[in-house]
Amino acid sequence: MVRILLADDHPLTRSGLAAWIAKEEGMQLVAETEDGESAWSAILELRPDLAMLDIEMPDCSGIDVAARVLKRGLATNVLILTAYSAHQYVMASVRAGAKGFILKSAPLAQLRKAIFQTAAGDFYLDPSVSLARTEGDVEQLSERELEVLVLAGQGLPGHEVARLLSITERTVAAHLTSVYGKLGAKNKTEAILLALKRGVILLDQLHLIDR
Amino acid sequence: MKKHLLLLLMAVVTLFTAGNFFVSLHAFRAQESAMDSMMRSYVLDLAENFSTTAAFTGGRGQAQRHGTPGMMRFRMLSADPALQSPDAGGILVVSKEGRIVSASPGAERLLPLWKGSAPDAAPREAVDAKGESYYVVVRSLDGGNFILAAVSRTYLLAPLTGVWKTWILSAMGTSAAVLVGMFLLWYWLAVPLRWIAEKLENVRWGKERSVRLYTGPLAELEALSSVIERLATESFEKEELKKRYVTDLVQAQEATRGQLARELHDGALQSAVAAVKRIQLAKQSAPSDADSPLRTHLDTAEEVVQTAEGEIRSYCEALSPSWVRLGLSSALEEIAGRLAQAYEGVETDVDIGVEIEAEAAAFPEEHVLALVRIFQEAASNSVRHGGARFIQAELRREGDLLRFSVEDDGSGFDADAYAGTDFEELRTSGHRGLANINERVRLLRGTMRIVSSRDSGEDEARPGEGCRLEILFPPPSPGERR
Repeated sequence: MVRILLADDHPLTRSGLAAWIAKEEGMQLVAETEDGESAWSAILELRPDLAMLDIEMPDCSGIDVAARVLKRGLATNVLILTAYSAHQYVMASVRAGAKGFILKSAPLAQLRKAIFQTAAGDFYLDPSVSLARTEGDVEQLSERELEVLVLAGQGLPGHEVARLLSITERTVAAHLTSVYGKLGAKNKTEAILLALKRGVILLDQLHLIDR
Repeated sequence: MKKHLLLLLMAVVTLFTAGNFFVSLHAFRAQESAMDSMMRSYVLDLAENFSTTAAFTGGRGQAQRHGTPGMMRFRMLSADPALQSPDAGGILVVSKEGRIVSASPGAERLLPLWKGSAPDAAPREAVDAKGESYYVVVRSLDGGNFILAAVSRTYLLAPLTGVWKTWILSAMGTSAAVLVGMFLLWYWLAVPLRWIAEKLENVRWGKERSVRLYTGPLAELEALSSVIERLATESFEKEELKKRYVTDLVQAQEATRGQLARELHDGALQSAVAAVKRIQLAKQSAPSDADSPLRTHLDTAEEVVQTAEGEIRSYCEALSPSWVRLGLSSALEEIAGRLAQAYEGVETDVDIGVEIEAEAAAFPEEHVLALVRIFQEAASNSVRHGGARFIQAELRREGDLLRFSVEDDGSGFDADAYAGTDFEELRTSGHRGLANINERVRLLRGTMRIVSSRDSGEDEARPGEGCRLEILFPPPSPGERR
């Protein structure tokens, strides 16, 4: 049984989801909150398996709550539930330690999948976050390319990545370009999200905590 | 020539004054020489008259001493101006030995002018012991005596020459005064006027608050310059007002858009989302028969509401992107990704990158939004007008300021043509993009410049290196309004 906390500032969304969760097998709603701060205290108190958090909330956004969960090292997994598909929302969620990202418009079957997958600690990314460009086999990334991708994924600027890997900024750019090509990505964000989606890199590698 | 009226005036006045001076000088010379010959003939006449009288009265005069007939002769001539005063001159009858035989009244003192018994052919000039100058002529008389006639040059001509000298001096003085006056007129009026004109030429109306045009001795020019200075100040203030107005307008516009986006997000969008969820729930409870009318209606309803939801979401995004709240770095990455996606396949693919090297985490939303809009506008200009395939945005610290630059590899544009152009003019001349950027720059209290490869003489950009937009602005203070 997955114990779920739901935080969303909109009552209609909340009640709709609550009604659905109540009916679903294998999941149980332990708390409903309408802002970030009360979600955080409920998480501390109830230690749910999964926190479904909206991004835009009064006081404290779902991403901030996810970051606190990550910092405390709590066992609660975070699934971000939002109306917007901005890549940077995904990136911010991922860096803050959220295990999953799903849009509110997603069909219920997908939501169910996302809930079980993230509750188990696996990464879930909403398929409609406009990335499905290349399907099939992905060319293997080299070790250096992976390192560059992971550091860039943590949000480090080019010169910082270069410094950490003791290479030039130009080389960093060259590696990234090669990564984009292999993953079929347009830019850094897409490359990171595609790599995550395909399991080329792991979510934990992108966390910012130890920086 | 009309343009140099003052110069012309000066030349005319100077020429006439100089001419006047030379004519006066010449007249003086002519007068002096006329006087001279007149005096010579006068003294000659005097001597001749006396000799004739002497001859007429018998010409003896040998032993005459202050008695007749010498005295009588003097009396006959006493109407002569030279004999009226002892200073004016006199007549001496001198013996061969140099003794005075007879003399007109007071003429004895003229004896030193007699230099021996040789008669003069023509009158000569001589100076007595006192330094007085005389016209002198000596003639021999029948009796072996000599007659000396002397006329004082100093006494008779001095007043006349004095007047002439004064006249000449005053003419010279007038000429000099006119010249000095003309020079001063040129120096204090023409030069400052030309200078004021030059300064006015370079005044950037509305850009400078105080314009200092003239300080000097001419109250009229000071008045003129203070009027112009006031106009400059007024124009500056009007320009400032206009800028503030535009800034306020942009701010108000953003605020309204933000407000509208929030309303849409919290209201219509959430309702649509909830409705979709309810429909999905209803579908779960509906009979599983795929062809049942209820199922079809629910499917249609879900589709319709989802379409509405998508539309509302894109309105929200267009009005005020919520992801600006993620901070500058994420916001710029997001817009870079979106722009790249938007241009994908439309032209050729465009590579858009972002490098943030300055601490920008604490940027207020207003700043983030301004930079996002600038980036958006600049990138779209780069692609549409410059045909750029690579665009790079950078934020770096530069001293106390931050420098945000957007660089591309496009064909660039003639930035020189816009150098110093008022961006209000850009707006009216159809360059709305640049004007929009400029408004955001103003919001950031920054300055912008454009370096393009098409610029001549710019070292920083070479042909083929596209165009770079640079914005320098102060970092937002921590307490700045969000």
